Amino acid sequence: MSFQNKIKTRIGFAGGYALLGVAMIVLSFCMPDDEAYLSSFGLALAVMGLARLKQYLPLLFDADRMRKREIAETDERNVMIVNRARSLTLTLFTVLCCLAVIVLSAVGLKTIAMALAAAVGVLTVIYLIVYRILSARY
Amino acid sequence: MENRIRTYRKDAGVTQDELAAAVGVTRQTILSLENGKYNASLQLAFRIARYFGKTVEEVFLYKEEEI
Repeated sequence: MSFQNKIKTRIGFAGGYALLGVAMIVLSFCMPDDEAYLSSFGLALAVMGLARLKQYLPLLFDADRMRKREIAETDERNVMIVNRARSLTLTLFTVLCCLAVIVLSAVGLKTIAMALAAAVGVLTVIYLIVYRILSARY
Repeated sequence: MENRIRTYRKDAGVTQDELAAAVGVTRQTILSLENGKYNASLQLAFRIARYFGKTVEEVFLYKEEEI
């Protein structure tokens, strides 16, 4: 997929988010009970969608900006930094969760500790599955 | 891995921005390469070498002990 098509796809998604957000806000006004979560979640979606539209739409009309954006997104050093940041974040998150499980168990919050331990377990299983798939592919 | 990017770039009278645009990376990547903080991929190494009309071995200095 060319970078221009990627941007068009992102614009499509951004428009979808914005429309969904507006629909949720309208829906919250039509409901008999005050559905505050619906309007605030809708507002967040709409703002996110509009912000992304503002970010991506000008690229379609400016070839130079589009080229610079493509270089910035595909630059191999940037990609490496993003991948390392993800990897380090995952490691830190897992370690912190394990520490939290120990602390929560010690203070008697066993249900929360179990839930957190289960989440870390699921994360590990997902990692192993993704690792297997990528190992088979490359 | 050491390289001679800065030397060849200055010999050619090219700015980091111009080299970055020519090989399809950001200026920061060229800066990191020149300072030896980042090692280029094979693809980028070939693009940079071809830009200067050199071989990869002439631009990037491989030392056995780096393995």
